[in-house]
Amino acid sequence: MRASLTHQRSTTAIHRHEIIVRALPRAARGARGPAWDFARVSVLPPSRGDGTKSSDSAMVEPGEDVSQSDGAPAEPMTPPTPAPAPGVFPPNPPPPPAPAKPASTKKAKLKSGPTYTPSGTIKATKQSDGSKTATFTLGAEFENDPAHDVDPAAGEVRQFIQWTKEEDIPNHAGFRPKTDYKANTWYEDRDSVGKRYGRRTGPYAECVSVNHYEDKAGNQNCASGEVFVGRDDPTDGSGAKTGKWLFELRAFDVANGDASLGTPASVAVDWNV
Amino acid sequence: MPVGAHESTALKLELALRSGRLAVTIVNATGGEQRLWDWHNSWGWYALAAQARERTGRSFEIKRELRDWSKNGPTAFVLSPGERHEVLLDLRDGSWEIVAAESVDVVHLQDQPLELRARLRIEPTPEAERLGVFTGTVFSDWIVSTPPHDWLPASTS
Repeated sequence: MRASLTHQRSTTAIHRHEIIVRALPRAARGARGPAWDFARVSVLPPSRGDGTKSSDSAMVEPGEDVSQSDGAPAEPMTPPTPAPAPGVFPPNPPPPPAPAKPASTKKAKLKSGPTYTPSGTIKATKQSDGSKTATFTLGAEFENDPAHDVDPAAGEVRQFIQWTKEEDIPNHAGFRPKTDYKANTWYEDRDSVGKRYGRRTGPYAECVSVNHYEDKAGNQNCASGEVFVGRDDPTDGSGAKTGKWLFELRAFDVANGDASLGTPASVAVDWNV
Repeated sequence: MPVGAHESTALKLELALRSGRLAVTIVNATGGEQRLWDWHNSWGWYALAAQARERTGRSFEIKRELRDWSKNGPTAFVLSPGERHEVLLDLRDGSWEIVAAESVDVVHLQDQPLELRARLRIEPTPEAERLGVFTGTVFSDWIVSTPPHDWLPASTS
């Protein structure tokens, strides 16, 4: 039932934008002047199969065979197009121009952050299996001010990573082939299954305990929550790394061309332990 | 299709061979929820492995290779009471290694029947305790694989 109602509303909306026009013939205005006066068109209610045409721009195309109120043949503005040979079909007419979309008025605004806790340089710790690891949390808060079109859903944070030695490239499927990635260059961080921090929608998005948005009451809401909550535990599985991994947490206004917001937060993991 | 199962107090592990892959099914045999680590984070990556043995009794393990994590966190999923969760393992996808006390000749292994079982092991960690994730070791029953072993990695570590 709900789907049916939605469909009806949609159909009605489309009809509201249809304007059916019929140019008035010269006979109705006298013999002088242009064959058709497009400044004077009658707007008719929507109908099909009556020789009229639907158009969003209320224009009549040159050469069009427009029915006249007095039944006289129309004077074409250009020579008529020859009829195609039997079995030959004329090309489809170009689609009508899409109605211009209003520019998005939504925007994102940072209220606080982005932040790393702790920040600065973290010395990795060795684990009993020989690996090394570090832990930090990621945070940011976007403003929610509908009266001024400030929409937290338009705000996203993203984490970037670079490594200081070529051999310290993250050894996982997210950074393959290795030859495509260089040291001392920022790349958006990702895991081995392609997920990334802070994405609200799309194939990179996830909504999990260590990578999600929530509302001010603490309820998980990855679509439009104001507060980003994240945690990262970068790990050197072999324990052989000796350089640093540098991370930046940046904020973006995705409703306005991914415009940067605020000042990125920084943290570094020093593997040389 | 060989199938094996091993009962434990909390989780039951079943193993089958399917089109060159190991189909490992984890069954929550308890009346309450059980939490397990997601397989791609550093807590869950090494949890599943396979053990194989020859007729001579020589055995080896096939486990995940070492890797890094740049984006990583302790995430888990829930198994409801009685729920079955199947994981298909492709031991030839490049992320597995054969580990044995002595060198293993993979070509030689292809000529003889092998016995195979799956293993789930989750170590106790502060994160597991905090999030209530299952810890312990569970094995499936042994199943027999007859040549050709299209699930067997091509090389050893």
